[in-house]
Amino acid sequence: MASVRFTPLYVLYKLFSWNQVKLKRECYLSDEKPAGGGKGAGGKRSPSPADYDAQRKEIDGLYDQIESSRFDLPMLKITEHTLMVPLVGAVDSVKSQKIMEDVLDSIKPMQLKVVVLDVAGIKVVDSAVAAHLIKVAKATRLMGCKTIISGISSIISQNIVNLGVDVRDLETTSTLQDAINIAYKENGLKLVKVDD
Amino acid sequence: MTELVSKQTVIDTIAIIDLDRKDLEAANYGSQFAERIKSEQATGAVVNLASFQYITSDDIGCLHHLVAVLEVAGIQTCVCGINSASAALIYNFVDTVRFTTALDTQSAIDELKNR
Repeated sequence: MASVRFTPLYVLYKLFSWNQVKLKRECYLSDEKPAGGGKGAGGKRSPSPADYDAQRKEIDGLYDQIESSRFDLPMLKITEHTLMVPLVGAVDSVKSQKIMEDVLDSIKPMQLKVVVLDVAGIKVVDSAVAAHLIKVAKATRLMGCKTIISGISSIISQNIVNLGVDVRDLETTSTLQDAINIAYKENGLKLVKVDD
Repeated sequence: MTELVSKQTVIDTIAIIDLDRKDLEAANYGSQFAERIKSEQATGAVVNLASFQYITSDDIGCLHHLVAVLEVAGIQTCVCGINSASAALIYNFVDTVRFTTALDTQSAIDELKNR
């Protein structure tokens, strides 16, 4: 077994290399770029500020991909021309934008006539969320599609009214069942109870 | 008076206009479209915006004007062919849209027939 002799020179060398690593780490975390970009000791080319920028852009891009994949919306086609989108958790500006894009992008390929946005799983419906839902409803109507917002509880409806949001353009229902009944009616369908 | 460049076809007394943006720059495009539709004995009109890659607030203003002129002239009108990108953006610039819309020309024809 090889033994290590802790000579003063060896300890100094170790301390120096550890400080170099620590310095680089702090430099990266504090978003500070190292000066210069020339060749370091040993003939190796040290990374230039442009390299750091490129790496940072790459990392940011990966973060964006992770963030966007986290908000994959479930899109449930319940009849030929009806789409149901259950919304769960907190809705922020990124998620609301994704809702808008995904719903609008699916109207033409799916030949949709009705979109049901179920907000029963949304924790808080504030003025921003309500405004965005109205915007989605208006935008879908431009593409010839009707939007029904279902799952509005009594507390949420009180909040929306207290916030002074204009909901005249919105069709709302308290339960998903009511929304699906309206969607069926819009498509000329009817739910019939089958006798045993 | 400038000649309209938008293509027009008539199916079952409904005129389908593939709208060209250049026509919205003419001074009296509303009356010109109304005359052209009436000359073909059409009672309804579908304004197809499929050739518009983007729709500006000015375009919406022009469409309001065109639809209003046609409706006053007794021609029921429906606008169709708005793409998803335009639909997503337009409400950031415009508060209300005062015309009936449909997904495509077939849906617009159905909409006019069911009125």
